[in-house]
Amino acid sequence: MPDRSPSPHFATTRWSIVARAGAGAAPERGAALAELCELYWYPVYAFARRRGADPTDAEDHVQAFFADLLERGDIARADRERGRFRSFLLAAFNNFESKAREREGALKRGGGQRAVSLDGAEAERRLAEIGSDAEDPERLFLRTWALTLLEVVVERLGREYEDSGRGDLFAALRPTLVGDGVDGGLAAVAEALGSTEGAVKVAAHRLRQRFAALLRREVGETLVDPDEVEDEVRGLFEALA
Amino acid sequence: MQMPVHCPRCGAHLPARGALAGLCPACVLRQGAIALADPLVADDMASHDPSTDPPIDLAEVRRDFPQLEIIELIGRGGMGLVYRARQRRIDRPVALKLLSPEAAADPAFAERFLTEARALARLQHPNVVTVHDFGELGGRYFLLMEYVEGCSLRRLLDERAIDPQRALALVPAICAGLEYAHGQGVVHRDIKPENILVQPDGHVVIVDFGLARMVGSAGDDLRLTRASQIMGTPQYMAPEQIHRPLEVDHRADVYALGVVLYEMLTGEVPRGRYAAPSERVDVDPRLDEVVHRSLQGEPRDRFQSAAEFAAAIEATRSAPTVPAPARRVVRAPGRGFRLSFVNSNQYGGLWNLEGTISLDEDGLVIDHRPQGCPPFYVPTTRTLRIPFDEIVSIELRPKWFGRSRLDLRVRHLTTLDGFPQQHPGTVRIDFKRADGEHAAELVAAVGKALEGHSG
Repeated sequence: MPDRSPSPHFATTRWSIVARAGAGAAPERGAALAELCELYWYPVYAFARRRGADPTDAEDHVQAFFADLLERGDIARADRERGRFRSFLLAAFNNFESKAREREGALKRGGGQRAVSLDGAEAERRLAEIGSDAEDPERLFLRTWALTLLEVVVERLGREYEDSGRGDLFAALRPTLVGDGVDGGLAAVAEALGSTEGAVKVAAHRLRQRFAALLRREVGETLVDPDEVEDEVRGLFEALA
Repeated sequence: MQMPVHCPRCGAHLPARGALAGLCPACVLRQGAIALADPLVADDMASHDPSTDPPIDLAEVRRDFPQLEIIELIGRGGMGLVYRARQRRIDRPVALKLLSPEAAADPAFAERFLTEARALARLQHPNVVTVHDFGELGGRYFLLMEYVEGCSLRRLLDERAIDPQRALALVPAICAGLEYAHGQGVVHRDIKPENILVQPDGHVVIVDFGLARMVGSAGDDLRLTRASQIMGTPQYMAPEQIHRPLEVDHRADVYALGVVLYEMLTGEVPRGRYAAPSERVDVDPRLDEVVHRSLQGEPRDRFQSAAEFAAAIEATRSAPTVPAPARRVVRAPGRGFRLSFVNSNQYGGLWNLEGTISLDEDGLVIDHRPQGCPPFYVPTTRTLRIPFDEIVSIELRPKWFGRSRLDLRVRHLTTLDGFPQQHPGTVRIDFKRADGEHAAELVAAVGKALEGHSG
């Protein structure tokens, strides 16, 4: 049998640090959770909006929810068993909302809680852009989740290229992330970069490989079991298709 | 210029801003998934492209191999560097292959190299390159091989020098070499046009036998692919090479050769729901079946040997087209029809299904498999059996253009394993107009059988 032990990189995904009891010290868990929340608040916001909250309420609820989550820091055992951060997040938000309804009014409007750097106006622009009206809240959550994750990955990819002084190359090859073929062809890209078409082709291929590697890593960060990455990608794909 | 709002590939909405601005998220993810399923993608970010290795200093090679007159570098690829050389003492032209030092960094490599190289050195066949010697020198593994004059099939394809007739002349020779090697227990694992050399007289020699296994750590966890980054081109790889590397056998070569044949006939490698060769170029439609058979996802559905592959090709070359013998089994509408299950949860309507429909004693047999899905969706062929007493009606809806349709209404439609859906449904079968005759034949046969059943 091949060695199936996960690579060291995956031994501690962000979500596994949070979800696995004893997987790390409490501060470490808190930091990992905060990082995840910072990246993935938008799907929760979209979900809240689609459930009927107006923009101000949604923003308040979402901030209060994350504040509560991060303050508690500890994840209930039942929740820990969830293998996916996104399933956890959705269930936890639902839970929070129903409790909030019970103690109606307890939620201070505009209480100034800033658990995550939620930009309400930007979130609204994005929501308007993707045309979410026809979708049920869960599906919208999943779709915005997939979009957010992809944005995180593409952005990281771009930063990586820039950091190594290849920002121009990234900008030129970015359209090839959806497959070969850019306006004017790779030959034009080659000319613009003062390179050869063959070299550009290789570079485009490598860009996609790098993207896939980052995608694998980022999806893995939201799971307990990195072996489920492909399953998760499939789920994301279905959400976007 | 205004940015397009919808993806020209899939019609999805394009984000206007943010990191994904102007990029179709679904297509980006699809490409990502494809690259992810590609064993060449390691999760290690320090992925390394060996083709960027600086060429080894010719003087260095000359120093390491004093018995050889190193003439020139003739090839460089994932596997390493190839030099044209001459063995001084016996004045024999040879090819010296130096494997990439990347590969040798793998501790298990030495053992694998020795095992594989020994097996290669035993191969003696006119269509298989001869390995004269092998070993390790200065930390580099080398193979000393017969020098084959000629050029690769890749170059011939690039130069559009391959017409169908030439293609069909080449395949049996490739099969002969493969059949011999398979008989010796050696699977090539990386059949592709680059590895098929054609001499000026048309003689074929297959090179790089087993090299993929040698350097590619086939059978290892695909994640640990530092070494297998230099494995072959995924387009030619059988699905099991990606998904179940431990189960790879000689039938993976059959698949790869199917891809090569398709490429020789049409100029492109088959992707997703590929068109039958005869739809794209003027070739004997019987070749469609040969290609289709060799490209089956399940090894057991392919030709079971290279010899069988060759025989199928020879049959299309010699015998004139004859009408199919009248049998109980009606094969219609033949390859490449599209299935959709109405009222069904199968595949969530995401993928196209393709397959064949036939008739046996008990009813209709629909073999189908998803097409055009990302590679991690191991596309398995499923068989849907519809007994005669389940058939409510079958209706032919011919069209003047586009695809014609068969509507098959059944009492209970159960299409997803372990997820039965037990209510009436319709199986909608779109097929090419060219298959209309077969479809009519099928409908008539079903009608007849139904009469027999109720009577």
